[in-house]
Amino acid sequence: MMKTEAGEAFRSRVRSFLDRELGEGWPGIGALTPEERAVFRGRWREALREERLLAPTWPEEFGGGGLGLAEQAILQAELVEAGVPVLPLDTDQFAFTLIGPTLLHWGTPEQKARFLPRMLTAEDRWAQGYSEPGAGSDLFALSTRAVLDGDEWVVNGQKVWQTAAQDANWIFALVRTEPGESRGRGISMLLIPIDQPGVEVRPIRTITGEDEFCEVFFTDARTAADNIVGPRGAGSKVALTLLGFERGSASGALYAGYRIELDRLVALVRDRGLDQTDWVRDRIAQAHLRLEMLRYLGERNLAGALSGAPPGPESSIIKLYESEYHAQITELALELLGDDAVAWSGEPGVAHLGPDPLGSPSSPAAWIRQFLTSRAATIYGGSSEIQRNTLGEQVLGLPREPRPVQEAR
Amino acid sequence: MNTQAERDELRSVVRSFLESAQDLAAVRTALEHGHDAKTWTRLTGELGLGAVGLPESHGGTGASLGDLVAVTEELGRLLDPGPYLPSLVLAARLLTAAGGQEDLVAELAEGRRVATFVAAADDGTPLAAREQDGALVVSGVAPAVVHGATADILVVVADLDGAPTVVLVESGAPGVEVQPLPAVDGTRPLAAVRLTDAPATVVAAGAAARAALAETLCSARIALAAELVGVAQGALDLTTAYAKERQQFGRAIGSFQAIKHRLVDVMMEVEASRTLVRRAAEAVDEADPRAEELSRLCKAAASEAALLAGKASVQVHGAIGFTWEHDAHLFLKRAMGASRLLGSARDHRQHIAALLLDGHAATLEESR
Ligand SMILES: Cc1cc2nc3c(=O)[nH]c(=O)nc-3n(C[C@H](O)[C@H](O)[C@H](O)COP(=O)(O)OP(=O)(O)OC[C@H]3O[C@@H](n4cnc5c(N)ncnc54)[C@H](O)[C@@H]3O)c2cc1C
Repeated sequence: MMKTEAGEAFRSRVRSFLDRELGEGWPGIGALTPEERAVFRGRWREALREERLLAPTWPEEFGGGGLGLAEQAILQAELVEAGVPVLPLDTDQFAFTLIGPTLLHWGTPEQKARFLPRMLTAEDRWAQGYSEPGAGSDLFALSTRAVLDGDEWVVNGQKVWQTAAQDANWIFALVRTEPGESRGRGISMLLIPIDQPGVEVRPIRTITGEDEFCEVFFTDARTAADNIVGPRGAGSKVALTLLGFERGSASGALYAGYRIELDRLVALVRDRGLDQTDWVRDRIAQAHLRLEMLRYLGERNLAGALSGAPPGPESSIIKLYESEYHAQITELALELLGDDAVAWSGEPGVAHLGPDPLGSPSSPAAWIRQFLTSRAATIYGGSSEIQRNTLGEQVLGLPREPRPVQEAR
Repeated sequence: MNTQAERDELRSVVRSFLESAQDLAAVRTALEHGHDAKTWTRLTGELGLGAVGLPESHGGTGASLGDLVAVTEELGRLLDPGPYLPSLVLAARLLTAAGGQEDLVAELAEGRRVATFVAAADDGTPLAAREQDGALVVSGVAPAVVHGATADILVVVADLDGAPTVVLVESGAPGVEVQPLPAVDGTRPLAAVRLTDAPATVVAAGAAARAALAETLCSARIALAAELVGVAQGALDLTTAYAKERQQFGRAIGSFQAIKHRLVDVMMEVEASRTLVRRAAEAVDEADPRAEELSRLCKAAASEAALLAGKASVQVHGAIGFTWEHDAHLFLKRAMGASRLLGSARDHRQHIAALLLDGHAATLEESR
């Protein structure tokens, strides 16, 4: 990445902030016990917020930092390298990379003034209500509905796989509001408070045995009529802008996080005396190569965004690459562990999804957990199969698959 | 150094020239009769593309690898059968890096003479040089020299009393024996070159020769990686067009996911390799200490991307892709040849593994 004077000045500002907050010898959040970690997250989030680095690119009037994408990327890389979270709470990703930017784009002045500051203080904690039992990859097959009753929407239906919804008190949901319209056309995006009798959140145990996501039931749930984002029936359009934010926002953290993970894997190779084994050397070199490719794809994507170019195929390519890279690297870890990869021994890992942060253990338990959690990224946010469809059709211009019958127009 | 826009311009100059002067039918002629000398002199001399990336002191347009990779990628995309790699990427750059030889380099750049790079292996393993009656002579075998039978002049790496030395040998000199090989990739002829006390002139010796060789191989890997990206892109374009057009079961085969997804996988590797090649070229131009490492990474990546693309091309075309008449095999074979030249993906991964697992010292040493 081209270094600029302004960028480097910002980097030193971030570094002195980190020095001030973390002090000498900070080992990375991965080295803390679960209890210490919970306390640290809260304190760290406050520090970021006070420094206006929690929502670095938001306008200052809403509590943001008023910074650009270049600074955001530098900030993310510096935080990850230092071993501190960019978005400390599990619900933060939904606030800061999804619904927040969507409100900045589509929201009314009242919605912005009301919701954005409360995301910063964590008074409002958000979940994403898209998927349903009958609507996954085929998102616009969703059937949760809302009807206007006076000055309130009344919502009925079910969402599923809502990450961190057990910690959230608001959910942004795609629901059908326009009877008679089918597929993408009759959908709106509503903001719905979770703390009410009509909403029930039930955690679902994941593949690792933890509570990562939930199912959310709406039974005559209510929300104010003006808690709609964008026009009525424009929900699919609003949702697609939001997916664009989801893709572009984390590029700065991308490389740094995986580099920390690969360094940990190289240390494991040495610890286990495998560093002169041919197949191991070849696979480690291959992992390094794939990671460098990912790094420069990320930089190219960012450079494109900075120059104002419309989003190219890079973001989908990166999503595919990244998720498959992570799945492969964790597979390699289990191969290196050999027979030790059959029992949860040693300290457990830290991250719910994505690579474990700086300071995390390199135990069988941690790597097994990484292997399992890395299965998710090729499913959510558009599965690998869906990404390949999109790239094949939009970039290579290959003919579309036959569409579902309902969509025939 | 040129901007990306100027490079895109350069790219389109190469592309439109080759598309008009040397389509794939003309490339096929070269399979039997060698490259067309007229096209080569037009490309190098008339269009000035032989001078790209060489320093102005040697008649070049300025020492920029970023410019050169824009050219070699296009040459790869259109399977150019000319001696660009041996004469301009290897020989001319080695002579330039070794110092002096301005006139010869200028002649190469203009396409008036053709040179190639000769060593016992293409990682620069030397032949043997010795003094004989006050003059220098070279002996040894270079088993597979690119355009060995076309070149007028050989730029040879030789060992003289334990010191690496870069020398020139005229291909018509006594003691030079050239045996063409049945190369798999007919678009890039190979020959075994045997030297028996062939008279030689020294270009550089000792540390200067070693540094020049390392620098040249580093740049050449990146330029060849760019060519491989071009080969992969060419194969992908050919195949994508066919997948849109060929109908089976009442629809275009490109609508089947098995085909679509395979082509996307090729595209991803092409894009990622291209990004890495450009970054590596930038690293050389900025004298970034990672240039050597990046040159190996991008050569490994592009080699595999081109093979992936070539194999997919044959498969997606079905039986027509298995014919001599169809162009798919030209891309596959170019990939087979170029992926092995200047180190295979596996060779380069071995170097990278040494860097990661045996500490940096060894590799830095080597790149001096
Ligand atoms: C860890 C995790 C967290 C999540 N968090 C959230 C959240 O916070 N909020 C939310 O709303 N959702 C969330 N999701 C849900 C996620 O968006 C869906 O899982 C995703 O859209 C896929 O839908 P599905 O699971 O129903 O799979 P399906 O769509 O049923 O797909 C099953 C398989 O079929 C393949 N497939 C489907 N269609 C095609 C096709 N056309 N061509 C080829 N293959 C196809 C898929 O690739 C997949 O392999 C989360 C999921 C996970 C795993």
